[in-house]
Amino acid sequence: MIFDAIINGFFGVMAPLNLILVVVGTTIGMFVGAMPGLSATMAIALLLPLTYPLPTASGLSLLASLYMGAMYGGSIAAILLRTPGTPAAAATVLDGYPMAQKGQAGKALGVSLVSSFIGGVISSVALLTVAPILGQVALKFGPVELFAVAVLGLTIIASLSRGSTILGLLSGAIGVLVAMVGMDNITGTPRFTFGNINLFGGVSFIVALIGIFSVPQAIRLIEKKETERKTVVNSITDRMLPTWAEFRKIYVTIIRSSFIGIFTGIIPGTGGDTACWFGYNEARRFSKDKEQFGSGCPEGVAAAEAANNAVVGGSLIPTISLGIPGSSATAVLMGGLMVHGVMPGPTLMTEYADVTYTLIWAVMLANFAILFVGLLLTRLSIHVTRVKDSIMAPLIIVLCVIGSFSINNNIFDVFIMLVFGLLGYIMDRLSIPPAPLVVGLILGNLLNVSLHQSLLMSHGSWTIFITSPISAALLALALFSILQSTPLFAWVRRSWRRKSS
Amino acid sequence: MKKLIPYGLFAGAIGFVAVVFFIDTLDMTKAAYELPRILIVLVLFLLVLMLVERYYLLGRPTPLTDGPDEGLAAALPAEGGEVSVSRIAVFVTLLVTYVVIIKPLGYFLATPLFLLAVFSYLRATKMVWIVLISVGFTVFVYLLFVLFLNLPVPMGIMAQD
Repeated sequence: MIFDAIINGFFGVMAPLNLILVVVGTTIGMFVGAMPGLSATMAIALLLPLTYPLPTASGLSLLASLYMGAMYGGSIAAILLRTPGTPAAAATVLDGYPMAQKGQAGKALGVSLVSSFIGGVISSVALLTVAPILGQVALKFGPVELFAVAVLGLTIIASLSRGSTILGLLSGAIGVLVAMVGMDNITGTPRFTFGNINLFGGVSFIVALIGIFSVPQAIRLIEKKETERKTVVNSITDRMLPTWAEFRKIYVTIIRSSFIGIFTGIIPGTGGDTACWFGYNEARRFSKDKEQFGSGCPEGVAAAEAANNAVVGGSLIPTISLGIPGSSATAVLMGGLMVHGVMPGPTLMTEYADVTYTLIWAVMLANFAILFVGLLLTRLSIHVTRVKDSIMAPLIIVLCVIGSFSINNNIFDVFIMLVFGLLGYIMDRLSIPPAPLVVGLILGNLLNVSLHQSLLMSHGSWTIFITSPISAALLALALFSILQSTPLFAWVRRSWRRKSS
Repeated sequence: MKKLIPYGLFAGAIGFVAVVFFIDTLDMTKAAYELPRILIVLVLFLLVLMLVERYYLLGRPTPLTDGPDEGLAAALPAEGGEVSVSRIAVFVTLLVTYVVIIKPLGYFLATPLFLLAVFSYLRATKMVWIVLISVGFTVFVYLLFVLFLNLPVPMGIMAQD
């Protein structure tokens, strides 16, 4: 049955409309990624309303390929401007820019392109094989286990997000509380609506996403006086694709970084920005020419780029099989599923198998599109890196406003978008991570429904969550994920090390 | 101590909303208020913890939880320039005004006006380009949303009855 679904998904993505959308998505992603200051998450959030009229599988194919394209696109600005186009390309700067200074901009971009392609393909294979297996396990979960999975997802993403665990947990708790607004699915009681009819359906998840991920980015683009961006190259004149001899020197690094990227992606709360550093550090550790790193070493570019593209497939594994987003970008992709009435979770592998496997194949296909589009349009993308921030910021705002209006044809949604946008900016200034808030918003309904059902099963007794072995193990993991980031745990670890040494 | 003020204001605002939410739960049945009340208490508890943590961290460097080690971080370009509060204030004011006027005025008037105002304030480029980009982008978004994807935009005074 799984095999049939995989085959159907393959034929689904091969439909002419989906093929076109994969290429379009990759191209848009590459150009957005090439613009410093714009992230993949923001691009997906802004494009979400545009997928509304499209068939579910086609809309998701567009968004997934955009995510892939942006991961590669980030390296273009990193190599040419010494400014990462996306946070996931930060490590690419270290060796990419020195290569460009030496007149090897084309070679650096070519290494980045090939590494992104291989990293993406390996992670797509992992997604295609691991997600169905994990999905089968998740199908055995009842409401008690689903509640524990949601709690675990929230605590892990909160404790691993950049910044302190307390701020991460606070962000997640605010997200779940906001998800409580609206008519309660079980009792039919309106909660926190204060008589406003627009809030009876709850806070529109997509609208909140657009606000949180796009408005703060637009404000950040204009908050400092603009300085002119200096490029070291005005055109790429050298060869892009590495020769066989050059490739042989970097392929081990690419494969190692790809696996690092996959595992980093699987852990909720960590994304391309973490994976690129893991990949880079490990490449440097294993390299015979450690001192070459940082001075224009192709291995450094390959390590960072393979890792950040491999994150895409990895982060989609928990998203698809368990309904827990592995990164901010996959959280927005989950929003894309919800826009089309597909509820993320174990049913993705059964009820919506056609959509899910088409999405998985779209991720795979997007890698080939990156190679094709990258070879064709990377030279053109130099011009995109020169677009001024003061021009981009207001255009982003217009897309936010029109996008959030168009979802329900309701101006109230635009105000909600604005509120979440300003909240997102304030949180950003206070170093409170927005990702847990978004995950809280997504998982809020699942938490609410599974808690009600579990308590009904146990006649109101909370012990049901510790009498189920799976739930008890997952909740223990959740508790551990919080405790491991407390000073108490650091103290225990220090004294343990002292004893063993 | 000055660094604590923004956190205090944030805690005050979120705490106020949490208390208002708690009062709203007083009229609900147990099944409806159970989870929201747990969350409200959790949010209030975490807000207090946040303030305690920020007070404890005063004067200490923020530890890196991920990202580059110190040696690598030094090789990255430093973020230049001071954050301009006036730029943010004007931009946000124009953004709020745009959101308020788009319903009565309609997309075709409000959008180019907003773009013209922001581009001019930020001195984004030459005036000719400002006008061209403002009008061109307005038309492009309309074509994409309305004609190509059949999605609605607010028409305001241009709406047909």
